[in-house]
Amino acid sequence: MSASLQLYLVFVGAYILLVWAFYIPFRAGQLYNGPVYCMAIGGYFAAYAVTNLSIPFFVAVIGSAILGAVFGFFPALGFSRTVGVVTAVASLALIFIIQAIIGNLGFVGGAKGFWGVPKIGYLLPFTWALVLVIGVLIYRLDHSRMGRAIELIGIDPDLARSMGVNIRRLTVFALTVSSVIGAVAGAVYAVNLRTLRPETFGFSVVLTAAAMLFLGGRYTLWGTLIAVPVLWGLPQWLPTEAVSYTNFIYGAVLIIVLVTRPEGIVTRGMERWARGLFARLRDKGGEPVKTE
Amino acid sequence: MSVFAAQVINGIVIGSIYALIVLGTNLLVVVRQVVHFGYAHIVMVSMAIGWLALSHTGENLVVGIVTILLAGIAITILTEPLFRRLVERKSFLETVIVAQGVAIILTDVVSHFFNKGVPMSFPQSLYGGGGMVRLGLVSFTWANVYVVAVGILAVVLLVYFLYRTRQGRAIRAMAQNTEVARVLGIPFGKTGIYGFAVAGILAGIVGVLMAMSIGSVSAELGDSYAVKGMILVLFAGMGNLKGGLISAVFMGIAESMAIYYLPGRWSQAVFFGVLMLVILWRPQGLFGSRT
Repeated sequence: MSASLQLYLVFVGAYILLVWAFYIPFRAGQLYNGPVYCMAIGGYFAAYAVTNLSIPFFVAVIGSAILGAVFGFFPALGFSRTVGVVTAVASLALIFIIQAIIGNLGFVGGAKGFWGVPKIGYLLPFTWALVLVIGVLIYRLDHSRMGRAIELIGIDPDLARSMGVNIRRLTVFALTVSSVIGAVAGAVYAVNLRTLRPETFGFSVVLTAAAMLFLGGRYTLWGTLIAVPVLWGLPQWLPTEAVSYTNFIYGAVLIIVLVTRPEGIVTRGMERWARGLFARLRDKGGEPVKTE
Repeated sequence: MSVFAAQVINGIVIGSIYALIVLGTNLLVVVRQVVHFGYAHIVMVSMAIGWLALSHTGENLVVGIVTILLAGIAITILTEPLFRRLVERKSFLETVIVAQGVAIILTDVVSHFFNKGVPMSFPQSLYGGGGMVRLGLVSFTWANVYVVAVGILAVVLLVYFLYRTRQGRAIRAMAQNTEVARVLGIPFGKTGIYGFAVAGILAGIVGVLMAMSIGSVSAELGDSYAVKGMILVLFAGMGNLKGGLISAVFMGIAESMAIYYLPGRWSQAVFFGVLMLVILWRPQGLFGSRT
């Protein structure tokens, strides 16, 4: 497998995790930028731990996740009180704040950047193992009582409240979980990129992740698996002259999707159809089917 | 002391620019329920087009200024149809995202087609050749005077428009209650376009003022002013015109102080931190009311 293909596959894995980190709060109706802020924290920590502290990567990832939980929890507390546009725009501030702070921290290279991260041999299988595990966990969460409560908050907060859902607590939970996943995505991304600057985890990451989330399917997990490889791989399948227009295409994709097919490629209807298909297949195998 | 005064003046100038951006953004929120994240980018592109005009006409100032104004109106109105479907769906949040898409596209276009992505600077003659005015201990440039003066003028004109003209009243009626306004015969489409046009002129004016005071434009300018402007809008209270003005000028002064007195990049962290904390404490904005 060529080196550039390996790089590509790891970046795709990292972005899948990141977009999933955006997906979870979005189910509750929040477009939260906390994942990118924790991506910076998790990424810088993993890079520093692996390079300067000689901590093995798989341990560093755990450290990133813990940092993501800690640093994600406190903003989550604040942002559970805000909705919609306010959350989306105000959480951008987190990204700029952490950029400014990292830029002032000399020991991680400050504004000049951090480089020299060693290559991690097992990064590719490790990343995809992470994608698999986290994907399964998110799927289980989505289809649990908690997941359905979160979805209800997104659809009709008043109804959720009257049905006894503790919106505040669930929102903090969702935002914190998304921060943790963002931090893990950051760790993978940083160690694959091997050179970091404060600007690496900036506004453009938000836009890229948003384009991927909305193109793939904003209410389902699966669409991400299509949208990320396609959008991240654009430089590969575009003719050379068009490659520098990648950002332009991301912007155009965002606009076109939101105006014409807001749910994205993989809609809830498609997911339900697929699950119905599986149920019928199980049926054909002679097993009794429990109807939900 | 004169340094302090200089920072205050600098802050008022920056604050006036923020104030106009906030005003234009709030106008679009109020008229069309569109949170136009790409508004600052429209300003940036207008400036770039103006720069092109200037360099092609041998720095003819009038042509430059008029071009920027026209570009502002034109581009703003061009983005209007993108939001129509979303407004029907009553989705505020999605307008932010579509506007972000517009923002990326505008940034990319400028960095590709204008001066090969290198920052473009405006001729000194645009802002009075850098001459200074002294008033006692305080000195400021003619550019500063123009910016603040035009800013105040723009606000006065806008208030007059909104409160004393038919179109302005139509816009305010639509802002208060869209359905009732429609029933009363106020045309939804036309009024919306008027709103966008006014916001567009404002964008052009901001472009001219920024060309005067900052003196240059680059593709990245859009992003930085868009984010700050947006956060200021929320800080004051979305749709709150008066509150937005006051907050913007105040934050301009605060930012100017922070940049001068705080080391390194801490000024940005503090600036955004304070704004974010206030928004978290009062999500409806300092001057907003809980609906």
